[in-house]
Amino acid sequence: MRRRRLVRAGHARTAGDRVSTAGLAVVMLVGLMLIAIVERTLLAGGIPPAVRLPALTPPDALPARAAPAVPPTSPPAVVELEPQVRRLTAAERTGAARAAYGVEPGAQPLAAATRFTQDRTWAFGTSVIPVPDRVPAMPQVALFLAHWDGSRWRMALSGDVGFRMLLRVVPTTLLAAEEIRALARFSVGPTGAPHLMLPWRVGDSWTMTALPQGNRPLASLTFDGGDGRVLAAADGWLYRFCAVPTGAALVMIVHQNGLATVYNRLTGLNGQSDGTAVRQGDPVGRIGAEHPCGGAVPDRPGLQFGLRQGTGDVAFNSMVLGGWIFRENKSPFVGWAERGFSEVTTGGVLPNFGPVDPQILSVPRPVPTPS
Amino acid sequence: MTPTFTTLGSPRLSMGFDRFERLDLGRHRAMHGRIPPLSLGDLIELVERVDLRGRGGAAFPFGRKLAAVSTTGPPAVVLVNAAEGEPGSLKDATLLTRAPHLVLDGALLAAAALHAREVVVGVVEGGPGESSLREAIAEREPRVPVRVVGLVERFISGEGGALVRAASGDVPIPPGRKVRASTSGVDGFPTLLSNAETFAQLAVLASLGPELFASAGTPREPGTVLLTVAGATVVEVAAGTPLRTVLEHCEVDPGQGVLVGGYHGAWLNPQAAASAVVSRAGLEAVGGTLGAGIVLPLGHGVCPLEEVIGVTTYLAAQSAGQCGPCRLGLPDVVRTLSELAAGSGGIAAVRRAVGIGRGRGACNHPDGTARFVSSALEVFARDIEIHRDHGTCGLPTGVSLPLPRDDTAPRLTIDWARCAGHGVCAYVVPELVHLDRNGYPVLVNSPMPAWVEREARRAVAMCPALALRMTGGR
Amino acid sequence: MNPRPMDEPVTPKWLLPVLANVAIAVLAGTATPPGAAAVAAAQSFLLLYAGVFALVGMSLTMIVGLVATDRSLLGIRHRVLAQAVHRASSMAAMAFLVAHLVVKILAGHARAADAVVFRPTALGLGALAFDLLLMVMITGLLRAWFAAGTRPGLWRTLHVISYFAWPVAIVHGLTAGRQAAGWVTWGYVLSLVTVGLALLTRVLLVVRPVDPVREALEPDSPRRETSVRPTAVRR
Repeated sequence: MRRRRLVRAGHARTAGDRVSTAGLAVVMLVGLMLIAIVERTLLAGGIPPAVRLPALTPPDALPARAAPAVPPTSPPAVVELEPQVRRLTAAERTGAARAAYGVEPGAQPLAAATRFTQDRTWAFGTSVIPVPDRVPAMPQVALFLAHWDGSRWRMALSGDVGFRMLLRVVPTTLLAAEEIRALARFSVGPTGAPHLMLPWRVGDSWTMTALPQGNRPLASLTFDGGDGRVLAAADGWLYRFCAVPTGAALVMIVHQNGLATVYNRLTGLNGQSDGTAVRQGDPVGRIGAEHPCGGAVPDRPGLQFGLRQGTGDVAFNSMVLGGWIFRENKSPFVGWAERGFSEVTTGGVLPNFGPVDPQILSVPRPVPTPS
Repeated sequence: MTPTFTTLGSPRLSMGFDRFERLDLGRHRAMHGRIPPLSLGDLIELVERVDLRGRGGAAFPFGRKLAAVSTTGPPAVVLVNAAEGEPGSLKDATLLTRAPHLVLDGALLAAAALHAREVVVGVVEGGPGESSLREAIAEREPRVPVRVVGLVERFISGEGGALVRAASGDVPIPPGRKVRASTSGVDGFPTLLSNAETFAQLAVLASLGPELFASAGTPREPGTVLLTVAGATVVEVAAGTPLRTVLEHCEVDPGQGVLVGGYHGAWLNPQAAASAVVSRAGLEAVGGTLGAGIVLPLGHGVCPLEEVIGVTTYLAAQSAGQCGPCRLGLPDVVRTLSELAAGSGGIAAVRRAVGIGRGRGACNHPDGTARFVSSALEVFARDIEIHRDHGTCGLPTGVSLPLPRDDTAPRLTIDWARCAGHGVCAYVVPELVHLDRNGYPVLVNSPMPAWVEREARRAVAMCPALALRMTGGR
Repeated sequence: MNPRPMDEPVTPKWLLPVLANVAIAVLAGTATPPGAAAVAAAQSFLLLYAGVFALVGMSLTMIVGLVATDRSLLGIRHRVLAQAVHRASSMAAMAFLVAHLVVKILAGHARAADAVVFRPTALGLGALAFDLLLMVMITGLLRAWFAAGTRPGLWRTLHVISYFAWPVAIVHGLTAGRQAAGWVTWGYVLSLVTVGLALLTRVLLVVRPVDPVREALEPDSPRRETSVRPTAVRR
């Protein structure tokens, strides 16, 4: 009897030890998470302004918000804003740009504050790291949101945690509630894919030219042909980058589910301001031979087209555009668009079927029959 | 306490002890002469002619040890065990203090024969033997390097395996698996390990020659034996001397019984003690053992069961706590004995508890303890009966047998005003606490072994009534 | 047999260096883009759930602690285990509580002072609960010290603060932040009521006079502090 009790005592000791170990493991895990979060917060420029609002309520469920009533202790230093954004972009995004461009990005980032609240304590805008000469890559772009807390600008780039934090408290006088929602999804990562069409008139056929970069065969995808008019691939909010006086620019349209389409080398922009809501098929601009955000000089006018979210480019693989499924294969290293049993590679011609599901039209491949 | 030393018959190891407090190199040479070096074959032959046995307790033939070391390849180490862990034994300390050169002579003789790389002497750290030994090494220039390893005095530190580990720079506890020292001993070299008295006997043997050596003692066990009587007197007697003569010579009474062979030995009842002779065969004939030559008579007027409990408690606390028979088996023996003394237990329970460790464990500690307790059950049967019937024998309690006092060890105490008999402590440290019939704790009254301290602290922290606490401690 | 040395420390020696290396790796990894994304996910997770986990852990700690103390519900074996669970869950709850505070402050949802200064708002209740729980945790850590001291009873008096801190924390959890789902509210109310009832039972049990049966059996039971002898003398 006593013997059995003694033996069991050993068991309970080890079971208790195991429970303690589990508790200790939780503590250590949480501690490691905390130091990482503290580091990130410091890298992103410190603690964002303390604004007491219910956290994490979907933006559209909130009444229209006003800018904080507390008057700032000193007027916003608007002149400092864009340099600060440039520095933040350089600090946070140079690594990603290096990876995307394949070389060290040479030039300083460009930043443009495009929208302010009336009291100038809130600002929104765009920033981009220019592509080095002779590199055909897609420019690395970001949106920024900044708030003057009375003494300094608190800011974050799309894709950062801080961006979502600021989106939660940004006044609706700066960004519309729907736009806030789309930007939040853009920053975190899209939910599902929208029905995209190819960015030209439905029914027209354009030539596809693909250049590989890194591990992506379709890293730089260029289209040209037809009437040269570029149309929005889906509904969304339009943002301009690297706008130059000649009217050339890069345009990004953030769609409602958070995925963005990027249109580079555009000319003849309609003059839409940042944040203009566009519908699918709305004209965005015309194809051009300029390269406003840097990079290789194109040999002929065309549209450099890409997909984007939060901090980086989105691969075309499995994406459906204009009734085509795009594929980016690593081995063999080749990219193409397929529809049913027709496949189009670089140099081929793609007809735009519009925002349709390719499965509906797909027919089984013909099975070779013995003759 | 310096032990008194006497001799029965002609002195051998103790030659010159009557005139000199310590035999330095000059006096030693005058007494024993210069021992000529011997080849290994000659040495083995010499040893086997008188059947010299290890004097540490196991009585392993010394010649076989020598042969076992010599047949293996790499250079050997001679390891002298002078760190007797038993509180009742003083002979090795006496030898080292008074005749260190005799021990060194024997060790160096064996080392020269084996072409050993070094001689290591394990001694009780800070004891009188250590300084005397170091002085002796300084006095002579040994051809083989001699190293002294100090050990903290502890019962199991006297165990051979523990000594090998200490000499190799490890924690001095017995190794978990039995490894022959002769195959892989100190630092992995083949090691000739024996007790200090064995090496002293070897020196005497080489000095006297086999015929003269065998002039004392019995034909089967020639020579003399060092005994430690009553934990106070070291006596050199010729083997075959009646135990009664030794006791009379030392002026002690057999009392209620005589413990021979130390705390791993066995109790003899007064009749057996009166008829026994001091030799391995003579003591085994009456159910005892010569062991390390410890003779502890238990005087009248003390409660023998309390004495046995005190010694067993000490043995349990001295365990290294590295194997089950020691960790839980020995405290269990203490507990069943305590219950027996209180009149609530039974002899059968003690026997069961004792049987648990038999033939198992990392060393012979549980086995030796079992022999000690089992023999006590026989010899003190009458006293146990009184205890069973009355819960006490009325004799004053308090341990009279020699035990080192360790007041620095922490103890568990119970705040009886708070204790509500939850029983958590008995569950967490079954080694130290068990429950009485009403579910209240009964503490094992022993200095807390180091290996159980953590669990004891846990028990203190877990007591739901905050009634347990730990006092003392380092 | 058991080769494990018994004086081996609770936390192994290699833990600290390994932990330091992991921390350095985490600090370095956080600076990379994928690391940043992972940290962003961790931050949103902690923003949403650290408080919830702290509150759930605290509730578990309360219930298990209460159960472990009382002998009517569990056997010794399970009470010892329950004590381990009590300590482990309280540790985890405190970790999540600290994470909750740090993350909320870093996100700008609260200022550092809000974490400790009581004000009659939903946030202030959280601060009050935190202060009280901090004290409870300290008493918990010092339990052995109290047991060895002159007034072990003081420990219980101090540790009882948890019975005030916990409901305050629950009220904070239900009133501050996002709207709690109905079942969550009911779950908390249910555990509050359960613990309340268990507490009432316990108080009634403890406060009743000493067991008369035991008194009759052992009229001269030792009621003094002593080091017990192995032979408890009975006549």
